Amino acid sequence: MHVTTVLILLLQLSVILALSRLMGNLAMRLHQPRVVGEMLAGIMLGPSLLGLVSPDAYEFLFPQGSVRLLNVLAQVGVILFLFLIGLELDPKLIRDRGHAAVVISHASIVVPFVLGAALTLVLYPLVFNDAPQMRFTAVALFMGAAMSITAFPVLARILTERDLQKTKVGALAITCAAVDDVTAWCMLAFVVAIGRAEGLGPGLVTAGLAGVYVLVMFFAVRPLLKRIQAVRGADRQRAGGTLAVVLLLTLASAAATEYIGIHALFGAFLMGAIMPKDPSFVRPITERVEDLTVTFLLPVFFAYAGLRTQIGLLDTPLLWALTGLIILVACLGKFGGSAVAAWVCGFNWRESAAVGVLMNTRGLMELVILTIGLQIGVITDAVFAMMVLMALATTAMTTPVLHWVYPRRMFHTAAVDDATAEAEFGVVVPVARAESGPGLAKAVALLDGPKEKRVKLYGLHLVEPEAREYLGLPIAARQTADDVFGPMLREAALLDLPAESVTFRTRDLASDIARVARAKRADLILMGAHQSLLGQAALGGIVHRVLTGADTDVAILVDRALPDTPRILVPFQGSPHDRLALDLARRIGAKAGAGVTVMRVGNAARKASSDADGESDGVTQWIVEDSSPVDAVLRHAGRFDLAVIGVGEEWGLMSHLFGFRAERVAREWPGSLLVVRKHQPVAELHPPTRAGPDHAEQPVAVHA
Amino acid sequence: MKRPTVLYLSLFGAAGLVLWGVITVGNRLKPPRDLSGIWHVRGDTPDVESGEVVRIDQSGRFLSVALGKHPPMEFRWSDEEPNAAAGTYVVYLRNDNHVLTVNIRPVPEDPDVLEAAEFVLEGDHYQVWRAERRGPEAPLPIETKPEKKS
Repeated sequence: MHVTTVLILLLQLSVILALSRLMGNLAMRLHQPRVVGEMLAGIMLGPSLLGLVSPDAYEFLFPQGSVRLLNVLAQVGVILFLFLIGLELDPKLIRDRGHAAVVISHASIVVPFVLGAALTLVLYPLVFNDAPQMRFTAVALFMGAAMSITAFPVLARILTERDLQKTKVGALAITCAAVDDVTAWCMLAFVVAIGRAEGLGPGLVTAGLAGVYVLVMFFAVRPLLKRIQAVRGADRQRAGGTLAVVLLLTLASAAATEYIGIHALFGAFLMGAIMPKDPSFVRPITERVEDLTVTFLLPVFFAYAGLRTQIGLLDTPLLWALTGLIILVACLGKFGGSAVAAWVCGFNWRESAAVGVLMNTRGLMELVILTIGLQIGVITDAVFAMMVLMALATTAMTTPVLHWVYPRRMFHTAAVDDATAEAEFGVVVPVARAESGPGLAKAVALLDGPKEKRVKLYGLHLVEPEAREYLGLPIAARQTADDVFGPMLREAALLDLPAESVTFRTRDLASDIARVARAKRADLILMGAHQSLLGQAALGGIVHRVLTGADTDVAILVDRALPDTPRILVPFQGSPHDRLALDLARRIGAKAGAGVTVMRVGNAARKASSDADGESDGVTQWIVEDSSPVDAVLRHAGRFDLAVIGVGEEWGLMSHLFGFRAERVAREWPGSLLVVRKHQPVAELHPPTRAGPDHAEQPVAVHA
Repeated sequence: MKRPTVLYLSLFGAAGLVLWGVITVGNRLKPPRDLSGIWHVRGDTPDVESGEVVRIDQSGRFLSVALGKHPPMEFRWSDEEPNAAAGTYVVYLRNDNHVLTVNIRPVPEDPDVLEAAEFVLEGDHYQVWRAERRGPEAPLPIETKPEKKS
């Protein structure tokens, strides 16, 4: 077997991608940005963990020399990423800033910059060398720039996930972060130029060339791009050619800045920033470049950075103390600077703190800056490790601290009060697709009751964040809330059904559906059936999680052309779920003027001990003798349009790992089906009883 | 003037002053001499094969020194004694078990060599290594041939 360089590279890439996805998903589960998990994955693959735990595996996976190839891929990835960051930069954010935004954005740069530079006074004699690249001025400016960076993409993503982007705080934070980004990259170009310059003469040459380069970009390349946009902008068939030209220009711009001495990344960023921002022109380019960059190349960058991170170097209390000091100064500068400036500008303390917390997010951008610092020799390995830990800490603390200082506002409307909750039968209806809305609205309308307890529909559209983990703000928005709710709200209006809608982004659909129902004090969550990824369960996936996890009654509608006046069957064995099924069936029956048949299935003995067949208030009791309740229900399916059925083993609807086991009723029932689950508080799940678990013998209460 | 305007102007004024002060003071600070990099063992070193290297990773006062194929040893910067007249200097590195004395001198007669050093390790072991630091290392070529057969 030949162990070639290519084979090693392929192996490295596979391991990197797998671990990166795994850790990214784990981070998201823990309500952290994906970038935190991916940064950790990189560190885990490096000498700090793999090299420590299994030096042989580390040596095999990352033999000396092979890391150069990873470096090349990582650099290309970061160049493309910076191009995308520039591309996403909205010039309006910078141009149309309010008075407060100007002050806060500048304070959020200046304060951490100065504190970072001042911190160098402590660090310089301890963890820097007397090397030509580590002159104090270059080190201090670099530390200042590294402290003042904000991860615009991570911040944007946190804002969209928490639905804060349109709030005063969110709009302010995103504006400030955009300004910080531009300023930080310009500062970095300046610092790199100083670090690389070998005297005043070469420094002036670099500055002069950089000036010429910027002029060329604005007055030659930008008009060229506008011309390309005008000629090819909307032509999808020539999108590939346009992309090639844009990439070529990006690489040329990056090469130019690298040659000048202000680093390739600045060229890529500026190229993106000067691109015309017409979505029809930008969107196809972003989508094509982003997929490869974010999914494939950035994890390689994280791994490369992780390979350079030697946390083992921090082996003395002094070095850990310095790490703590760096984190403290970083937070003090960024959080303190932004928050105080916001407070001075008239924000209340909560809003000011939220702005500060958001601006303190550093994420991937910090890692990019640090890698540059290490490459040009302006920081040592120990400082790199300490700063990586700072980047991790400040990014990881953002979401929990934000949650603490600025609790999540889930709704644009206030939670429902006692009086309202008493006066309405609230039904929360999660809607994923527009076409399922009218059917669900119709089902809700069937649950309508008397005037003093009318049903109210709370349409809920929860959007899972797209895979744009780094760029944050979605360019290509999918269905808007109006698109999704439109058909359902129109149907509700036709049915004279009170309705309101709520939309927000979430990472955890099931939990948030339950949370909304709780806040709205809803009586019922009504969902459409959902096919799970694993298996054929119609009640799997999100539906299963809501059914088993919500602390509200839940009903799942399998809509198979429900008529206006359905003949309703309630298979009944007496469980709490069956009783809820009966209650709902009676509501539907009363509203639609339809008959409800309660089918009890049992053996002869049970039949003898039970009530006789009969009818009361439009509810017909029907006792069927059969050894299999499921067979009995299905045998008489043709006589009914709707079955309202409680979850339970007797109906083949027991909760299982990936959904509800068997589900034969759900699959084979030809008409519409409403599967219901009664929420039972924990104390009620196992009530002390002498009669044993067989609740089937309890009498059926048939009330008007 | 409005309060934010005052804040804005005072912020920049104060920041400029502090930065100027930091850089002025900082330029007087002296970090530990840079020993990091690869030191090539000289032929006049007894009991050491030619081609061996001394590898030093340094983050200020914290150093990792690998003498040849021996595992790296962690040292802390202890002291430095320059001899301005001779252009030489002696650096003392310590850990719990060893003292590593590095006598460094310039090598003006060889333009390819930045400086030469004698590493004297005392403590649990005693060793003397003579090595020299050369100009910037050429980057290693990217391997394209099979590395191993198994």
